Amino acid sequence: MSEVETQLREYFDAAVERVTAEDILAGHRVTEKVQFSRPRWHPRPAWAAIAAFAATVVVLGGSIGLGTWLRNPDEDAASGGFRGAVDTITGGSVPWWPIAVIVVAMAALVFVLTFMRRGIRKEKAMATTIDTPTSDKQLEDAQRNNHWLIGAVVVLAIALLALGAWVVYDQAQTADTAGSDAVIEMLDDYRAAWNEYDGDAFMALTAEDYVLVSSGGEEVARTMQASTIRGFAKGINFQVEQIGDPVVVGDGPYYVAVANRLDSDAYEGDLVDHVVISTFVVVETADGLKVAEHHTVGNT
Amino acid sequence: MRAASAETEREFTRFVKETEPRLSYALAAACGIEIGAEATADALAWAWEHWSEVEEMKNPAGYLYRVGQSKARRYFRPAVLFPVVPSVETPTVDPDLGIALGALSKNQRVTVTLIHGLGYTEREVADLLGISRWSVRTHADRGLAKLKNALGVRIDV
Repeated sequence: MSEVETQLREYFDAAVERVTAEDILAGHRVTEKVQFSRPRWHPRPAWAAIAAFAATVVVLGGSIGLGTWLRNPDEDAASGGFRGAVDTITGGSVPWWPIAVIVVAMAALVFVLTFMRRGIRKEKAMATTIDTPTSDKQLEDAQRNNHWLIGAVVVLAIALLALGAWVVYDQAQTADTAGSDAVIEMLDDYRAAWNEYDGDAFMALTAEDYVLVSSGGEEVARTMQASTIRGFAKGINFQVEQIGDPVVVGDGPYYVAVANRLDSDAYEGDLVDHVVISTFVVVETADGLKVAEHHTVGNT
Repeated sequence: MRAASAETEREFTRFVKETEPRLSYALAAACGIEIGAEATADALAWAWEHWSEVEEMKNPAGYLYRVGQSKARRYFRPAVLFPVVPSVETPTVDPDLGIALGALSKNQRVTVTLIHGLGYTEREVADLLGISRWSVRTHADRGLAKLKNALGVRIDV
């Protein structure tokens, strides 16, 4: 064998396929003149995944936004306030949030689709062996599209995070309904009035049209019940013990549910046998919160 | 550049005659024989499409070398970068030369091929690779030593 230097020269002279200016110019003319259109919608898997992601965000955000908007408290006022009460449970008082999320997600989707269509618009012909599998224009488009793709993904991710934040905020609002603390405090006083046989306090805490509805469906008016508390209840040492935390919904009127254990000298057996579920309708009056209705269900 | 004048084409042709050999060999040494040829064609096609920029460059060969390397990334890397050439064409070439070349670093392959194999100057290679002449010399010497060692040739340094 000859010297390494000689071998290198011979090897590369024999192996390397040289390129001439004529090749380049001819190839350029061919790719300029002959063009084939590719299918207008032929997304690659990554594009399809991005589009699906964006569609999911839009559909999810749209559903939540639409549902929230349909439960708008302002509109519910005209329908008797019931849906307004439900609204407080679901936190539907911020309808602009999901709408903003949807707008952002849709804008990102438009960007993605616009540049996806640009990227696949045309492909130059592969007519000669000197041509490349894809044109430089396509490569540059693809590189540019990648930047937009990353941007779109970031925007969509932010939109999704915002949506998630809104849901969390929404859930947090559910537990912390405005005015619920005052309602609970008032009902504590109401229960204390029963336990202390304080008819005057009972009268102060109930509305004029107050009614107590027992398990059997019997209705007792306000003054009658005050009298009962002062006399009969005191005679049998009637006591009410709250079990667990009350559930408050609505934003006026308030609907409250609470479990109570009852005790009295008239009862026999274990206290656990005398547990009732009491539901209250609490209204706001000029004198503050008042119990308008008191329903009991259970073993009294 | 859809309506290139004949004069522009002549300038480009002159440019290719000057630049193409060094570019072809360098990219072949860097990326392998097959991909090197494709990368060279791509780089020169790019030069033609951007001729107004390229003709103003101080070191167009060096720029196109980098363009070619970028273009080369689009191609699948073959299992053998330097295939054996039929011995009829290269009777004096050791069949293991391709394997030995493949064991060198990219810069060692380019420098040892261009300087020791094809007679380019260190300055020309340094411009092409965008590194200093000292680095070029170091790469070339180490590459040559490795090649000789791999091919069982006595080292005369």
